Amino acid sequence: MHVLARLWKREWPLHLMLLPGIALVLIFSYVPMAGIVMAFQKYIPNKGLFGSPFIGLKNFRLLIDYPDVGRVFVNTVYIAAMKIAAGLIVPITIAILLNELRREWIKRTFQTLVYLPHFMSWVLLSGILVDVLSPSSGVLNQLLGYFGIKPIFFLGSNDWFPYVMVISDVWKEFGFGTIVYLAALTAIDPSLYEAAAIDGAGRIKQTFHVTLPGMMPIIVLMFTLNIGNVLNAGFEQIFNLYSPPVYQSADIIDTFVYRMGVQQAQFGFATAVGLLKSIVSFIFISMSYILAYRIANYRIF
Amino acid sequence: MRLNRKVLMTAALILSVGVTACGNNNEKESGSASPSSATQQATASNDAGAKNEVIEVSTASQSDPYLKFDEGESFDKNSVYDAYEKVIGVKITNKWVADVTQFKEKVKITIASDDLPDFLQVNATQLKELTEAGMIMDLTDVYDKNATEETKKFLTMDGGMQMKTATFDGKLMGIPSSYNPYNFQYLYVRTDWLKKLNLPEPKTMQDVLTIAEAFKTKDPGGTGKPYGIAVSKEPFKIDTGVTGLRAFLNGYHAYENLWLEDASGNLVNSDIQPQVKDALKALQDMFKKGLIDPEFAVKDTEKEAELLYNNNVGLVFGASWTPAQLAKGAIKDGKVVQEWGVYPIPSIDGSPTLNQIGIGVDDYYVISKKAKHPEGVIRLLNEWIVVDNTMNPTDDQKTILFGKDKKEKGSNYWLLSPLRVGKQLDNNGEILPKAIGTKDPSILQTADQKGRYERAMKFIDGTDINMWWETLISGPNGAVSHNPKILQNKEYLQNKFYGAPTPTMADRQEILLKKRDEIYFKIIMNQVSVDEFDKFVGEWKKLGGDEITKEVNEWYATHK
Repeated sequence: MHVLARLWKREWPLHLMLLPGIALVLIFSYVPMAGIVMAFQKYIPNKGLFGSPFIGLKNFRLLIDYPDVGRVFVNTVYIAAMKIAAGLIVPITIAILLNELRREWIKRTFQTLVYLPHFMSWVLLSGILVDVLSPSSGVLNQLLGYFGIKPIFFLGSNDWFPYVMVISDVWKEFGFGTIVYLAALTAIDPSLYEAAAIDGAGRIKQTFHVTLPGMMPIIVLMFTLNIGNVLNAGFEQIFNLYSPPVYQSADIIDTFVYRMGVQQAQFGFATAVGLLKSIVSFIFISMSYILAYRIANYRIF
Repeated sequence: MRLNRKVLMTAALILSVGVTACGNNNEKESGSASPSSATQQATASNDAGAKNEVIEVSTASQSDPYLKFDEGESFDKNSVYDAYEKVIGVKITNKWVADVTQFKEKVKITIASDDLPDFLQVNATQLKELTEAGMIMDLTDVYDKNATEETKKFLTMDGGMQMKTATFDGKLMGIPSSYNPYNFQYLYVRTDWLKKLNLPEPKTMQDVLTIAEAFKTKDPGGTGKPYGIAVSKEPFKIDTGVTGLRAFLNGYHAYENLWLEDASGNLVNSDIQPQVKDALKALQDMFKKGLIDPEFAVKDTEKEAELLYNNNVGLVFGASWTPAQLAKGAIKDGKVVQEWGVYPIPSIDGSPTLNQIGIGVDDYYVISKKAKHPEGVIRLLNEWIVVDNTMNPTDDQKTILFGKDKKEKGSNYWLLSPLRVGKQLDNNGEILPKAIGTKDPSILQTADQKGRYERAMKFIDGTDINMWWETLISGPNGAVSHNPKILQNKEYLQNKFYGAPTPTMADRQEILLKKRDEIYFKIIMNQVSVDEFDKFVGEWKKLGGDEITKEVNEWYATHK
């Protein structure tokens, strides 16, 4: 008892400093969860959460009745999964390659350049992409033309659209991702490399047996965090680039919810889909967390 | 408590939808009622005496790139608001201002967060929603008591149809932001190219196809990349005034999302009628021949219009104001470098094309239930109608139209008037071409005609070449010169359904339109056979189309 009191006396300012953070989380993360009831309501703005009539599972039924719900779901997972995979592999590879560079200024310049697109919005980039990918006047198709390849309408073809989304997203974000992995690389003990070199390991072998295992915890962490995004295929990007002929391969849950929920003011419906998404994401995160613990013996909490 | 719930709901909405579209949601902390109201709550009546006391009404405004403020003026403080305050004793404040593209989204957020200004412009769906939610005021009495005879006459020029769309169970819930429904579309063709290639003027739809093909193969613009016709990414939307395809459909006796009577007198939706298939077939053929820009699906109007400015395309369908868009390419370095002609939409067969038109109202002004001075809103309405329609404006009225300099200088100050309604009928088509042709201003009847006449004259007498477009709209062979014949022969088709969206419509409309766009686009772009249309008709019916048709006909039975 005496000890506890002494501890309290010493540590109370720390607890005080924690309060604003807790308050923020409570107000902006926990209290809004009450809004989940909207998923079961026909939400009427001025009647609010407490006055709007309950309609049971009608919002969910509307979603299931939607004829293309399967297609929308598959598109979402397909695009998102490719983005997650590419979003891991590309930055890791780049980080390792950058790490091998001897000249500091080349490394810095490269890093800054690839990092830039991260700060541009999709509204802006979509305008640029439409021009670059244009089959009649786009740079890319002109380039392909030199190799005798016929112009491809990347944004108007269902065969290409999902991959264009993945590639352009990776292009925009890999610079940002690289930073995290570069930080992880600096944490690897140099003596391990020396030991490996003495044992006769070349550059390649060192990468596979020292670098990668050293980065493993951070890779697993990033993967676990990203897997929660498996139903977020990138609303802004797709919304700005899709068009009716590619709805088939481009319509994702978020664009669908936007059209139904926000444009048609069906707030209850939008919340229902959002809730469903959260549940699925939660399951995915839990699973990957357990797997990460089992396989890599890695725990976040 | 109120604030808490608002934050909570907004946050929940954003969280669940996963969209951060709200942009700068800098809602000002406000006590929901106008600040000055406390002292003036007693001033409810609208006697002449009460006008001396200034009342305050709040609204939300759209900023517009075409609105150019005078030095030192802004939405907070400008000569137009001052003039309104001086003349009718109504002080206008803005709860928020958003630019044109964001305005509609912001209105949705405003409704969702139950934070309406005293009056606000909303669409038909929102009008119904707000009425059902009891968030807006029943205007029946306020309007009856405060609207002038002139206002009442002005808003029922169409026989009262538009007012009826704002009436629910006998209660007037909004003021229609009306316009003239007889807004037709026309065919615009480069006449200098027709001459160059020795082609006849377009009289039939076949002529149109012939011209489009000649423009493609002979490349009169000499660009190396010619197309036959300009089409942009939302060709079926009513908002697409230029580069749309609604007029093309009309030429095939097909219509975009319109309710029309079938042989037995029931209402059917035009989107699934067989005539659409013919039109799509024709478009597909044009696409195959390279007459349509293969990238139209990703180009908005402005982007597609570049093809018109740069001589790649010389054929486009559009509303009467299309020349204002064409002017960007037609006038270069003080010279007219492109010559355009306007023609009525031709028909594919012997029977004339019917222009599809609406009711003439898409938006309504509603008054919040919490508004302290609804009569102020009606006074704004009265004043606007007077100001916009007078032939000889007073100084104050000129200020309301043009700002403190009291003369037209292209800064579009009329956009500052917070409540605007247009005329439901006009005879511009009869008067203007004659007046301009004979240079006789004495036959002009309205302020609008006077303004147009003066602009056209500036072009004709050579003082301002940039007024070229007005002549193409209002001149002897301009767009509106075709109107008298269209009106006289009733070559138009009005939507027979003008009620608020039915329950199934609210749920399913979006799905059906999306499905429709997908299949129409794929057919046009030759990705699927035109026979897919038949499959679409089946799906349309199954996905709620039949249900909607039933509901629409139930409505029709009571509104015939």
